[in-house]
Amino acid sequence: MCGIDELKQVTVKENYLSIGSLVRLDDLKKHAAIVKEFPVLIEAAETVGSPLIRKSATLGGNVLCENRCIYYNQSEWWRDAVGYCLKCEGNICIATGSKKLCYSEFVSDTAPALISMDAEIEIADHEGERTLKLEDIYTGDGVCPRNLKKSAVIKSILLPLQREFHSSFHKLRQRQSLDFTSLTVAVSIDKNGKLKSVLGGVDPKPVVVEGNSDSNLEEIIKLALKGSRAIDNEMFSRNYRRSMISVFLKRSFEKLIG
Amino acid sequence: MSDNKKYLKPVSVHEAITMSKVCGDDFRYIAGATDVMVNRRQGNEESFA
Ligand SMILES: Cc1cc2nc3c(=O)[nH]c(=O)nc-3n(C[C@H](O)[C@H](O)[C@H](O)COP(=O)(O)OP(=O)(O)OC[C@H]3O[C@@H](n4cnc5c(N)ncnc54)[C@H](O)[C@@H]3O)c2cc1C
Ligand code: SF4
Repeated sequence: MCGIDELKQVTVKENYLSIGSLVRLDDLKKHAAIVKEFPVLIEAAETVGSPLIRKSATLGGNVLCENRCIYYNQSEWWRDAVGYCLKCEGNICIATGSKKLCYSEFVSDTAPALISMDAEIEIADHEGERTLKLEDIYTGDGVCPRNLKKSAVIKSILLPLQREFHSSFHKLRQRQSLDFTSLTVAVSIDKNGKLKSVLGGVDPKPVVVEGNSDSNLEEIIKLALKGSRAIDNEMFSRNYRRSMISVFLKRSFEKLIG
Repeated sequence: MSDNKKYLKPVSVHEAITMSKVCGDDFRYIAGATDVMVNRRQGNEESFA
């Protein structure tokens, strides 16, 4: 895709900032409009992988990053020895024993930040072009985590201007460099007090809880915990990650609402 | 990596979609390749033309 220059632009489209899907994560900070209006996107992007990875990795690729699970992201011979699971030609989930559901984790770090600011996604495929809310492309099914056609090209990510977002971003991982997320929490509040909390790493899709500055914050935490179907399929235990959801959300609310 | 795949380089969105039509289901878009190629190496990626 790297020959498609039209997908490398950052432009203003009516009331939105349009970020081309091929803009590299490391280049987001070179755009004054992103630095000024959506700094949390840069903060999130800077937690992805390593500096070298961020020089190749694109924003479009990041929102479509494949779900992860410790029993799946292994070499072929490892999986052959242990047995194949639902996500990989097998008929049982090794982590839970379920014969129906895969809970591989949604791990994109930029998507929670983008969704917390009501991002939309511009898509083109054989049938034409359309714009969707970013959160609507995720299915919640770990085997097939997105509902896009294979031929769909992400053209750009649209972020609403003039909402004056204040945001907070937290990521839990073993090493502060390189590791995928064990829990990502992004929270944004706009000038009208609209509050959106988005969790990654604890469900096959982003967990979204909306409210406003007057909402009962304990209730938002409860809803986030209820929506998160984390299982023991990565380095940190399910219980630890669930307890960190409350910690990160409380820290976010303290920063944004006081 | 031993690789019998064919890599195409579209220069427009329209061209990418047209190429995908020609490939049927046996293809994958590649942007920075930091996710898709690692998954392929692990044998986690579906094949693509
Ligand atoms: C060691 C290591 C550490 C990593 N750590 C993190 C991390 O901490 N957080 C994180 O979020 N990710 C991490 N990643 C995964 C990956 O590097 C990032 O998600 C990256 O942003 C993917 O972008 P890319 O451009 O390389 O995508 P690619 O690998 O090129 O593509 C990823 C997927 O998106 C599709 N795609 C890409 N662009 C388009 C488009 N324009 N239209 C339609 N489909 C498209 C591809 O077909 C593929 O399915 C890590 C990877 C490695 C190897
Ligand atoms: S959650 Fe279960 S089915 Fe899904 S990838 Fe992990 S082991 Fe496989």
